Amino acid sequence: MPTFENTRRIIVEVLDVQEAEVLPETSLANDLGADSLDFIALLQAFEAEFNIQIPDADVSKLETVADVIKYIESKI
Amino acid sequence: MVYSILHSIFKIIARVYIRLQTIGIENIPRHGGVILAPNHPSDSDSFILGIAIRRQLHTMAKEEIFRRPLPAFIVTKLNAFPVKRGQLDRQSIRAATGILKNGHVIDMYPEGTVSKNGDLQLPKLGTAFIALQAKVPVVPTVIRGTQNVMLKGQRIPRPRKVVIEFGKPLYFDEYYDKPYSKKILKAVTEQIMTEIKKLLNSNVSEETYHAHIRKHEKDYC
Repeated sequence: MPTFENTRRIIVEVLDVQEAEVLPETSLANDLGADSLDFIALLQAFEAEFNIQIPDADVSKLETVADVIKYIESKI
Repeated sequence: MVYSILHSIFKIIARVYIRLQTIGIENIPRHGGVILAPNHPSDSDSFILGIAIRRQLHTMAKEEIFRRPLPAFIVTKLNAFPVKRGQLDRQSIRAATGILKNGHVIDMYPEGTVSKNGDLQLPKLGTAFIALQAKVPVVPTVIRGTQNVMLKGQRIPRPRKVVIEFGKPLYFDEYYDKPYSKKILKAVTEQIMTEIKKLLNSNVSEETYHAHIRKHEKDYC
């Protein structure tokens, strides 16, 4: 199951940001500066970690860290 | 087949018209997937790079070109595949990775776009990302002179000399089994750009060039 901790771990690793920067309300694009390549890498990492498939179109649903957790929960 | 015919024709034209010269072409591995990572002085870089090497070059092209049948037919025959620029486009990443894993050559420009003044621009991380995804080496490359062949808005190429120099291939095996990280991509990109800068700053004389050609004639691929 996705938890805040393991979702944050992936985001910190992929985006090379500090743990303290990643909060549930943090926006991946606006606060952490994730660009299209970062989102591709994040989707791949989430897919591998949680064994799910994420269509490209669903990236618009992944605005904040909380959105990511909610989305992954819905896919498991 | 179409590619080979066009390649032969354009190669002859390029040798005469733009005096196309290559240095270090033996640095391109003869077999297996490899990324050529050049600076980007002109829109015509991929076309001229494709003429310059013996192995078939695959290249990313703007998706818009594939919307009209004739241009789509031509660029497809020239091994181009579509990319949606600035968008989340995993399809083009998968296509590039697949082509490389099947043992082909792709050109990818770390700068992302054509340089307006000829200077190296800040790199993007896409080249490193695909190199690590496909687990292939990267050949740092410098293209000189293409910016003088096709000026903006011009339709007919001008007869200006073009020289393309290939550096030693860079291998990134140490990162292949590590989880994706922007830190790693930055390190790989930095290494590629450092080698491109070194090539850009090197000054190869005509004499050195011809000695080099004689020495490595058999290695040309």
